[in-house]
Amino acid sequence: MSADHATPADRSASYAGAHVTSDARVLDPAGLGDHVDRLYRAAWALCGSREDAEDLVQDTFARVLAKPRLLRNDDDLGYLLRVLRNTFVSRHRASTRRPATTAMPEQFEAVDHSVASRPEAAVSAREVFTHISALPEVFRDALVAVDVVGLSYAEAARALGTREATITSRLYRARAQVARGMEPHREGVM
Amino acid sequence: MAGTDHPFPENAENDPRERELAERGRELVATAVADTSAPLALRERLERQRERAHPPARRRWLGLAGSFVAVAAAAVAALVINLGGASSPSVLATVELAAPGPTLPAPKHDMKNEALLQTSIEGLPFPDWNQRFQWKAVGLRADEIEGRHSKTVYYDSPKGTRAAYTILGGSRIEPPQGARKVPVRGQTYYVTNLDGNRVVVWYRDGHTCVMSAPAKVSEEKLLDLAAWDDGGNVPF
Repeated sequence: MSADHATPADRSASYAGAHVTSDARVLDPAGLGDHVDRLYRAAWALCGSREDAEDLVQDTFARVLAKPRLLRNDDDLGYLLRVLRNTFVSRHRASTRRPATTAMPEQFEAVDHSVASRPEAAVSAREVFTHISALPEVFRDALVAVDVVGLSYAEAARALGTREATITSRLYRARAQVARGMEPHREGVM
Repeated sequence: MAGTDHPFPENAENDPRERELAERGRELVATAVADTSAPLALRERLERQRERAHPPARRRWLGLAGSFVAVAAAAVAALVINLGGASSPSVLATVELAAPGPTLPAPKHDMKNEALLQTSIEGLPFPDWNQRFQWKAVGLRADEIEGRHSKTVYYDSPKGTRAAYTILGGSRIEPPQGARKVPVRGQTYYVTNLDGNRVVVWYRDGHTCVMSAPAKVSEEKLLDLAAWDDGGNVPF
């Protein structure tokens, strides 16, 4: 059977090389496109910058595509979120070892065509993602997993290696902190 | 569903202010998420990245520029469709025209007519499928082919599958040879396959419309989109 006509299962098996057990499967690269929006939002919420978010998603895809990925208990999205987060942490560590560069002023950010027809939405989304990125790491991760990516509490707990109750508590505090962070600005413009 | 299984920790009711803030925060994040999608340029870079890493699967990645070109070129021999004379482009050429993908931002929603986008060719507007089908216009390109203008609007399904909808200026061209005729509400639609892509050709107000999408998009769905007139709000 040619690769062009292979079913996803066939391709998965060939990516794995051999020995894919019944409780494991190989991530199908053809399905990655379905998750771009969610990963981009998650990346923006982690980085606080659209440009960095684009780079982070690209790096994540490069990692995932570099070799076959065997998934045991994860759904695709939970797995991809973990890779995204690990890539973010690696990049962050690397950047702290490099000399600091001057950040591009916020007003010179490239136009985001995905919300270009609604400038107020662009501003609001940018503010929200900036506040999320500034949260303490454990709160930020819980909020990104559940509210930004859309995982269930159980999936988020699995992806982050913690308990559901911990996710609940962190998420609650993260949401409150985001709202609190947005308050001064909102009061100023009302 | 995200954010709904355990909205508050057990002791949350002790502090109504915190509870109110948490709810407000949830709403703010939900709004930001709903307003944000990945930029088209990023999607295209990722697609190229994926194709480089897994070339055998390229035809399964749908609606993307490189694949369209390759698929269309491979199908030239199988599909002889230029029946409109020397001055008429073929349906295949029209499909190829759309292959490189959008060059302009998505046209805006027409505030005066919810069924339309704010872009047209020779007065014939493109439909806005977002509200009815959740297929969102994500980009646009304008071309010239054999002295005719053409416009293509790219629409993404909720799952990210892309359809290219081209309207060709000037008089109608012939449908592809061998295409199947499908009548829908008194109109005739011509459906054919170009390897991994499904192509529908039909006519609106004397103009030729060509829509191509990955074959995983069902014929019924494509016809549903193509034939949607919103009770007359989309001119045919």
